[in-house]
Amino acid sequence: MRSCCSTLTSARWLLLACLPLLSQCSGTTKSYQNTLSYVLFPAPDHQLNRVELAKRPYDTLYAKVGDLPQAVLVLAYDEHGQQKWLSADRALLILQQGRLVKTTGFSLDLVFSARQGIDPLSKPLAQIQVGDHFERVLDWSAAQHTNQLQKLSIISIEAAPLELLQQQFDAVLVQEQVTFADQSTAINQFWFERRSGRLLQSQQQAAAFAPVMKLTHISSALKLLPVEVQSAF
Amino acid sequence: MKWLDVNVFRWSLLMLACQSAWAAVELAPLPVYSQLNQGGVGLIQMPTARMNADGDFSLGYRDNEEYRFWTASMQLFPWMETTVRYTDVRTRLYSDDPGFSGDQTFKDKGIDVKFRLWQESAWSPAVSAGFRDFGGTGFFESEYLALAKRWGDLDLHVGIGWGYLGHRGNINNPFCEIAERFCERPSGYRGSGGGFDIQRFFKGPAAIYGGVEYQTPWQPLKLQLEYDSNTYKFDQAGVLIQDSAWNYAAVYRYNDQLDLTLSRQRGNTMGFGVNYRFNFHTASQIKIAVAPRIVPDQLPAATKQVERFDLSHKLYYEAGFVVQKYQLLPDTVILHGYSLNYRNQDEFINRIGRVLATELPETVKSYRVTEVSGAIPMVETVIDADKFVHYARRDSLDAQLAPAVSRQHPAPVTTDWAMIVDNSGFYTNADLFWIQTFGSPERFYMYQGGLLLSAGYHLDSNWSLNSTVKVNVLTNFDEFKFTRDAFETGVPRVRTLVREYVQGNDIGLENLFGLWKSDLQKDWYAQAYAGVLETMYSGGGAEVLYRPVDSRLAVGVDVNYVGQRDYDRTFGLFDYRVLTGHVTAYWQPEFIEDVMLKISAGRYLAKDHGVTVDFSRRFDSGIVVGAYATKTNLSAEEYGEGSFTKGFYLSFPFDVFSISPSIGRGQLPWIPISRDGGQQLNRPSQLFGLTDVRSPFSK
Amino acid sequence: MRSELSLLRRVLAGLCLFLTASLQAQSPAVLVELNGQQQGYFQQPRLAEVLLAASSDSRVYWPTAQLYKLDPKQLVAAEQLRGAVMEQLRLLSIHWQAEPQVAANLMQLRSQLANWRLAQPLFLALDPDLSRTRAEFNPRLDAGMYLLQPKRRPGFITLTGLGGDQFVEHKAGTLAYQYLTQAYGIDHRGVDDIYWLRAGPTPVKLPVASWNRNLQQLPPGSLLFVPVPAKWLPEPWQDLNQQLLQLLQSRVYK
Repeated sequence: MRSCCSTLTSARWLLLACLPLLSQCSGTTKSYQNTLSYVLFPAPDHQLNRVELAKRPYDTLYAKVGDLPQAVLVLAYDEHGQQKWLSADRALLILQQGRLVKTTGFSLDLVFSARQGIDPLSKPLAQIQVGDHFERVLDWSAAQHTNQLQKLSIISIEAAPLELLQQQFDAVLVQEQVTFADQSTAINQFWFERRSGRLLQSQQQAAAFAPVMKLTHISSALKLLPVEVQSAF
Repeated sequence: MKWLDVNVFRWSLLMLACQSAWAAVELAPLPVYSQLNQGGVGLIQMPTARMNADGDFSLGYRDNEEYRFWTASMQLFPWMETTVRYTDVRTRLYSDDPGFSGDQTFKDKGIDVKFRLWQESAWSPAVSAGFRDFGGTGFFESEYLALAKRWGDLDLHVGIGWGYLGHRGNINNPFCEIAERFCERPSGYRGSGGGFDIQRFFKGPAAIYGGVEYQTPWQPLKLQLEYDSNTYKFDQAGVLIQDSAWNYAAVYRYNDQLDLTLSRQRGNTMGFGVNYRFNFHTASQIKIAVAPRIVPDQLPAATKQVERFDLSHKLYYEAGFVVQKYQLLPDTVILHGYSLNYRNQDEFINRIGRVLATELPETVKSYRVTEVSGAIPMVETVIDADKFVHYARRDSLDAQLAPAVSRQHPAPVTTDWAMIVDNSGFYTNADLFWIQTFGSPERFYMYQGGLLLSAGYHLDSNWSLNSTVKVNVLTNFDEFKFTRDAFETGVPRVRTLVREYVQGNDIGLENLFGLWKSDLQKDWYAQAYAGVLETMYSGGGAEVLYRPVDSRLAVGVDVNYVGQRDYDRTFGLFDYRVLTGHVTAYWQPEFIEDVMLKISAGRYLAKDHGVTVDFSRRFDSGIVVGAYATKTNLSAEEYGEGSFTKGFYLSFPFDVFSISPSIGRGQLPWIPISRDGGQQLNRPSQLFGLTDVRSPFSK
Repeated sequence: MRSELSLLRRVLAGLCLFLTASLQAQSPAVLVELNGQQQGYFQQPRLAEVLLAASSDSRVYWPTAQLYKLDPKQLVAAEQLRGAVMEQLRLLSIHWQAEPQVAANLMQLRSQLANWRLAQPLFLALDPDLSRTRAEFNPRLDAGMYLLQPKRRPGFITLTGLGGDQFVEHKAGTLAYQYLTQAYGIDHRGVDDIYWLRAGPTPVKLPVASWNRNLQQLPPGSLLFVPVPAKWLPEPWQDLNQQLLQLLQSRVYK
């Protein structure tokens, strides 16, 4: 009995491997498969090619929040100097001069942002200088993260070519140091196209506990390309 | 605080949280008290009057040189805390016989319980009474009455202990003043151990103990100091030297779940511990699921054509509902099927309703959705389309789902079906299993895991042929040194030969039986089965169950005639035959929410008569914790070690851990000791489980 | 003659049109009072539409905005309650004549209470961006009259209790019981719990005594009720705190 069972060892492992096939559409196995594949094979970053972008009637933003896959957002509203970008699952990122000022639809939302001083990003690119600084007070949706004062100051402005849509953009990288309420610091980065001064890409962190967000204003980039390149295959 | 994902669907979670379009504030959590060495809320060696939040579950490990403890403590109710514990006594061997237990050290298990008697207020302390190690062999057996009072960052404790906690004897036992018999503590346990040794409670020397806990300004750190009322002269590990009656410790809270303890006890011993804690009410995993549909202001026209396969596909994809039968009448749609994904009934109905409201013409005013289990229609949910759309579109400020939905026994369908998915024919299935035991002499932790492969044939909705084969993949049961224990009590060995069955072949026949089941009439169900029924028994039986829809009470009767199977788990039988059966009442009392009592009376496998009481409590996450005990006409001596059958179990929904919603459940049993008395047949098909959707408890 | 007839016909036709038009004219289904002005909607609007009217001012701080229903029956009941509470406070202050400070505080609370506007607050997440993008946060308003109060960001916490309203500056990291101490000093001894209003459909109890306090923080603009300490409430006034709490639930905060 023992010897015949030992020869079946490899067969048993094979059976274990066939488990997903044998349990026909069992909801539980499927949910565990989903969980495992989400962990082991995270979804790839979502991107559009030039043709798709040109066809879209609304402006598009790529947003990569933390280490989640990049998502594509559309410009839902542009009002009061704020651009409100909407995701597929109805979350909103609201930007003012390229800076995040409000979110909705998250478990921890940024509900309010008040500025003390002039935001350097609201000035034309040519007027932004190293040393420009301001402060802002943020309120988040959790009571222990309200009234958070942060200090922001521009620390460097330098040329930095940026590649988007398989094109090289002559960009200026503005780096800003932000000191959060708990005195920890981070660096925000903003890439502007040199001639037009349009914001192409940014990497910013709104609080010490918030993930780093990488936002790519891909529609702005598309509009900066010459017309024949825009629609080229 | 998690920052949720952009572009990741999490509507199922948000929907449950925001059903009234109001986002609730997040309140500061209730205080979490640290665990003591032996498990349960307390200081270091001394238990306190404090209770953790309802549903808190803590797993602990403590290393104190002579002793090691593995503990699991559960706040079953806000006023009741229970703890189970395995103790490793390093200074003793499991037995004197290396052939029996090798060099394994002595292991002991224990169960504690604590009750809250009085809640703290401005002018009174919190008061609790507890019983430690009452259900085992009593090495740490104590009773205590504890008081606690908080003052800002200081938590002050004082208590009186009897038994292990009373050895110091620094006061006269107050009960001794009342009655002479309380002055001495009798030794020895009743029966064969495992019982409630009430005759020892509160007797013998008593001692006062105390302590203080200080929350330092640095939030993660707490300091503890206690006055030990035990003298360590009567410990299982031998006589331990106590240089000082003062113990002190530091507790470092790493995060919400984990804390670490470092202690100095008896003035000469260091102790180290880890605790992992989570709450059964709030345990959950963020779900990634398709968002429920939005119902537009403009509903589909009356002339809309409905493509039934397309509708079935959408119901499967968006609501996890598998349609088996479908009929569309001018003003009603009738669906028969089963749910795959959504445990929460409201969420399930909400998703189905939204699909139907947007896919069917607006002349359809009533959706009748019947959930089918085992090919028998179980419960019909009738959705009033107008009221549902009013709720789904939030057409008024206080639109609710409840007025739109009603549940009833499935009405018979007289019209022909437009679509039937034929579910007769062959089926196969595979499941994983895992068996574990603690405290065996050969090795503390023994396990067996593998596959249960099923195959069968459904002839029609009533008749089927089923079989399951058990395939072992991972096991250390081959380390068993003996298969039959030495206790001969005269009671037929109906279960104590389990080792014979689980050793042996790696592939064995679990069951092979024919099954007939039917709904006899409204609220009555019946089934009959014959063949190889479970690991140890073959035979036949029948069951009848009365279970109205959404009723708090259900009653069933089952009768079986079985014979004991041969160890090789083929078709052979031993000579033992028994007629076994029970009357069972399933009751969800009104006066206490989320509790189920199952009371079974009848004849058990060893031909003994008695009653089993099973008590379980469901927590908000769907996790169910239960305990059961059986008392039969066997005396404690006849039963053997443990005195009577008892067990605990924890049943959890699989989607507490997974990202997609699902309805499967897993069960983790813990049976301290089990012998032949009070053993029920493991019936291969149970009507109460089959009819679960009629009055769901564990959803 | 012909021109007079055609003129007469035209005048008559105009008159008929005017009459039918005014007969068909309806009163608005929903009236929303916003910043002292009434906004009427002939069809029941959804929340987003109502909030958008107030959102042109980008300095509105929506977390503390409030929407009230002005329901005549509710208002009558609230007024009756106010009358009863004012009478209780008056009698209690007479009872404590020997304690001039307490009596003065009670009368101060009473006079402030007399000036409160009363309405029925609705518990809805008020944020035009949220309502516009998520259907479950965009219910349709029932017919009736409403009051919408968008506010600027308040930098303080309001505590209402013995002595009327107290205002404490909001500071990050401050715990609930610390606000209480700042507002009342040692006078708050004897208060075990305070109530956080408008944080949910029912007031939320916050423990603040030395034996039960926790690490609860509060967002700016929080509205708290500090019960009158029990030592100032003899037997006939045992229900006063409950009544005050109930009345505060109908209060329109400025």
